[in-house]
Amino acid sequence: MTLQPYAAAWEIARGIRGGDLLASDVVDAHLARITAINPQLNAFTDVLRERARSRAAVIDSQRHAGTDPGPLAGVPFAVKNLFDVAGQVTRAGSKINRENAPATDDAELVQRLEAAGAILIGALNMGEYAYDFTGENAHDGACRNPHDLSRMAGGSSSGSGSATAAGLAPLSLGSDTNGSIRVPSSLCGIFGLKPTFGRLTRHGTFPFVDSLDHLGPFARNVSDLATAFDAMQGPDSRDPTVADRPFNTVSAKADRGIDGLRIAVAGGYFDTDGLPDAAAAVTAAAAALNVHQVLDVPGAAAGRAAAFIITNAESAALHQGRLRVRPDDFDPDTRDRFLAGSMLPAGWLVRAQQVRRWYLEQVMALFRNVDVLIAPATPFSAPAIGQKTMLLRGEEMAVRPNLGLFTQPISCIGLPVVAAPMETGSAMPIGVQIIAPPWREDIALRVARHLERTGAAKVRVPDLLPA
Amino acid sequence: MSDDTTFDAEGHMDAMAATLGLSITDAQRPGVIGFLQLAARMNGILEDVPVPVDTLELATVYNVPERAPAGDDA
Repeated sequence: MTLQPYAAAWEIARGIRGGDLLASDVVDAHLARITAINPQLNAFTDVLRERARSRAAVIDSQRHAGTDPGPLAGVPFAVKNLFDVAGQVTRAGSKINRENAPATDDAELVQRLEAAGAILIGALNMGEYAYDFTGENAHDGACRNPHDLSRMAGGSSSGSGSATAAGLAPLSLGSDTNGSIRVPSSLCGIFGLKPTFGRLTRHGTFPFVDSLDHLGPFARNVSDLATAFDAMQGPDSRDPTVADRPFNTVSAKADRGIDGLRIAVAGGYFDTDGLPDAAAAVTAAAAALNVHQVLDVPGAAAGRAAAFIITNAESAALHQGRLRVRPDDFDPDTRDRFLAGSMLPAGWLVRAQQVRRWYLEQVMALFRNVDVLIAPATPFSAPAIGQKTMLLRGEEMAVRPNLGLFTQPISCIGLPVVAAPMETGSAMPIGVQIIAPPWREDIALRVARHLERTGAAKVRVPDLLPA
Repeated sequence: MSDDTTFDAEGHMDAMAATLGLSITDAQRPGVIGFLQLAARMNGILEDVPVPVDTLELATVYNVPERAPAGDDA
């Protein structure tokens, strides 16, 4: 069996488990591709050649001895550089954290993916301390979009979106506090899963906003997304937000189709009038799902505002000591936001947490009558690197805080979402959000799989990069 | 939306910077003021939400665990 560029994780695992591929060859092929292509993208900040080759040798030995290495046998993956990797400094996109001691252990989700047979090959670029939707970084440089190198990859999990879209890693992990999995998924044209808040442990990752931080996978197809998610579920008392709930094993459910699901397009706050890219994506999804109902999501603007205040206040508190003594070592684009956040009146934060609960109740009432909401993931396809403002329905707005205006109200209340890349015919990719009730990642993945199977959702091979 | 024009972002910044021991340089002032104004607009949206009066049900919930078994740190 010959390994093709852009091979899916399931293809790689099947080849290795069946004895048709060697993990060592798979790793070498991906490392060679990273060497050739990463200089154009700036997606990887650390490439773990020795570790990956050593791990591949173990997988090959297991296979040779007749032991099944697991459902992700020999699948290379990479992680946003806020995940701890033993022996590496967890930089979290910053300059300051590079002075920290190397991590002594891998993050729990890295351990769980490797326990399923996957192989960590590197750490990925990101916006500083995850306060970003653009993928720009003053210290490491901008991460570039594989579909147009002059455009943003989206953030803050920029390297995750770019690397997986470019075929440098079939799987990657990122974090999503306000949209940082869904925005790069949309701009880079791949699938991303932000699970329910409290589903996946965050142990061994550098925090941004404890009230809102989620972790999740990126992939080029729904099956890979589901397999990775299943491998990462499970309790962890070291992260108090992890819910004591049974597994929702989704890989066996994703192919169940959409019969019986009540699906609606999110209107009101999520209306795409005046946003042709986003409108095309939502229209394509609605057509493929035969959905005609549009439902207002009550309180979405307030949910977005609550997420904004909670993010600003909590993250600034985390960094206040560094802001006091080393403000010049921050990325200027994040520093001024942190400084402002450190000064917010306490009552604003309390009000935001009160509204967050009220808004959750509004949306839970909506879910009595609907199982899935389709919403735009981003207002546009990827802006140009360096672009500071954008015109949104005639109003000029800053790019950095507003690229996630459609994702922010959803993560605010922790709903599970799959970002799916829609085939709209335009040059640059753009995605939709498939939003499900809490703890029902399986429903969002079923809808994503239907869109993928019908061709409405499609991951394109970037024209700019060599096959 | 509630009127947020009464919020003096620049005055607030100067007072809070002194309170918190933060130095805000001339280069940082426009950015910090802009983000404080944006936060004030967001708070204005929150103030307009019709949460029931005299309630304080926050999204942050603190769950007290069971007592540790004897022999552990207790």
